[in-house]
Amino acid sequence: MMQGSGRNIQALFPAWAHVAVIVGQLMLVVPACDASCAKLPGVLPEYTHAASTQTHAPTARHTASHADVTGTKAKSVHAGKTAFTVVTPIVKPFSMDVMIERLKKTDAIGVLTKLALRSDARDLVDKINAYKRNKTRYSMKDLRARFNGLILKVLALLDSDPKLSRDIYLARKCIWKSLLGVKG
Amino acid sequence: MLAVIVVLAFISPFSAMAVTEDEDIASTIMLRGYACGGRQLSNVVEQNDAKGNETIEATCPNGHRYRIVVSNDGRVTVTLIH
Repeated sequence: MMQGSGRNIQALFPAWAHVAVIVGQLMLVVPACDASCAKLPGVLPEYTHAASTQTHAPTARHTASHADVTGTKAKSVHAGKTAFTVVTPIVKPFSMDVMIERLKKTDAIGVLTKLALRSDARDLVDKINAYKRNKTRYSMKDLRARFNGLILKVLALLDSDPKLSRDIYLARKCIWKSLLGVKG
Repeated sequence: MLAVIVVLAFISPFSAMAVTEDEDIASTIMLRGYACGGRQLSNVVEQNDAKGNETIEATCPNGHRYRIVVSNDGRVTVTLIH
C-alpha cells in the first residue's frame, strides 16, 4: 500500500516540479526597461492566457517582443496550440503623479504614513520649484540626494507590496524627470 | 527539496496586508528619522482640536514618547516628548 502510494506521489512530482519552475520564473523575472520613460507605463501590462494545451509561460521580455506581431500570430496559432493575449490597459508614463496615485491605493502603508510621505513630497516639490526660480540655496545635487532619500524611504515602507516597490524602483529616473518638468 | 520550493512559492504574499494603527504610527515616527525600537506602541492618546488638527501621542518600545501632529491641511510633524 505504502509502496503504491509512494509510486503515485513520485508520478505527480514531475508535474508539480514543472509548476514550481514556472512560478519561480514568474517571481524572479524583471522586465527589461530601457531609459525611455515613454515606454515605462504607470501600470505594467497584464497577460491573459487565452487557450493552452501546455503549461509553458513566457517571460515578460519574450511576450513584449511578441506583442508587435500578436495580430498576425493569433490567426496561425489558434487551432488548438498555445495562444496568449496581451491585455494592455490604458497607461500613461510613470511620473510623480502616477506614483502618488498608486501609493494612495496600496494597503502596505497606513493613512498616517501616507500623509507623512505626502508632506515630504510636497516639501521636495516646493524646493525644486524654488530652484527653478533661482530662489534657493540648495544645489541640484542636494535636491537629487533628497529625492533619492525619499524614494528609499518609500521602498522601505513597501515591503509588503513588492510589485509597487519594483515599479517605483524601475521608474525612479522617470519620476525625477517629471519633477524637473523634463519630457521623456 | 522540490516540495519545499512549491510550498514556499504558494505561501508567498502576493497581496499586501493592511497595516494596524500602531504599525502606522510607528512607521511615521521612523520615517521622520526617530528610533522607535519596534512597532508595538503603548499609551496611545489621540486628540482633535477646534481647528481640525489631530495630535497623537504614543510611547515606543524603547521608552521614548513622541507627539505626532497632523494639521488640517495634511502636514505631519513628529516631535520627541521625552
